Amino acid sequence: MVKFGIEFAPSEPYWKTMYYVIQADRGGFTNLWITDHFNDRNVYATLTAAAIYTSKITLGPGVTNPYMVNPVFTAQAIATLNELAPSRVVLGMGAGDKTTLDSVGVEMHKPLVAIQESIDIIRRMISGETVAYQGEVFRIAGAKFLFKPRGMIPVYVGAQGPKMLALAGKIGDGVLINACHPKDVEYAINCVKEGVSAAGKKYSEIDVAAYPSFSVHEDVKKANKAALPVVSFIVAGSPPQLLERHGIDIKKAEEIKEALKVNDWGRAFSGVTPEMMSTFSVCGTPDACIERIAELLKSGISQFVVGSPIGANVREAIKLISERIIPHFKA
Amino acid sequence: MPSHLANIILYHWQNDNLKSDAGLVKLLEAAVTVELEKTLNALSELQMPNIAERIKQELAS
Repeated sequence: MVKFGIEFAPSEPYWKTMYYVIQADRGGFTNLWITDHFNDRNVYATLTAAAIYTSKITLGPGVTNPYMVNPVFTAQAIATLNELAPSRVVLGMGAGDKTTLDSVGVEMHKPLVAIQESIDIIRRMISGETVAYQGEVFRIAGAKFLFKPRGMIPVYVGAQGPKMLALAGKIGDGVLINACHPKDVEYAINCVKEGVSAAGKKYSEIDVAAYPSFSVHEDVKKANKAALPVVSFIVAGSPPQLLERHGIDIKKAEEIKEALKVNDWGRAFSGVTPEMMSTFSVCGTPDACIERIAELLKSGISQFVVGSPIGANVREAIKLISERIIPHFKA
Repeated sequence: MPSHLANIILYHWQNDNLKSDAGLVKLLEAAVTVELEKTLNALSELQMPNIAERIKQELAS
């Protein structure tokens, strides 16, 4: 059975996010992912509130990174959360966003190694070990919790590039793929499968999630309008190879990037083409979204995460997903 | 929105009780706190001028 996740960036007052979280819990979503950005509200404070206000949904940071937050602290935070919501906690770990890390003066040093080492440290801390670690990125003299964590916590790796995707398949209990075009998802899954084979695991043992920008509305124009700003930022941040693979004019993408740099939103948003929208978002009426999700499921994903903006009106969008989209895949 | 009021509303929402009298009272209180003019106009449009008048009196006292 396909899982449905939902992502929130805690950029709004906590009560708004909690309102939506309760609605999602009640509406059949299986997973809640809270983004971890230093310039939004804190991810663990938000997850703590979410754990208290919900009873079924599985929740976790989606994703945190090992540079801004030391893995020992991440282990402590999720182990504590797992006391509050036993067996409902997962961890999403990625290398982070270079622009964000640069803005606080943190270097993205050896991302593949950092992910592998941090997950190793986190798992060992949660298993109750005294961790002494001499890695290439992390060095720990000897750390152990003074409390007994309540069991292991599944770790999902957020990945985009081929090496990180393979590593995610190798060491992750799950993978978060930041893509939604079938071509990209198929490519990503092949990379994940390489890692899965290398680890001697079965592909069915891991939960592979597509984590795209999503927008649903009965009026397709309203759905598109809500997703357009998010897509413009994705286009601006995409490598040329990815744009070329989808036949997107690199010059047009550069123009969007330039416009965003100077906060010229009108020029940036008007540069977004229908091809860009369909490549970088799942967006439209409930029926159109169902069609796109069904296509992705054929690629081999087991979880579909509804990412920002969700819809022009988040409350109505969650209602549409709960009443129209999720039941379609449960039938 | 004051946190204590937000927490009560979330409590009612969590318990699927937001449509109860107690829930509606808190929603109305929040609406008045956050958007007084809009709330009074909406109540008048919904032909509930008595409630709007009572809110005005409460606020004036």
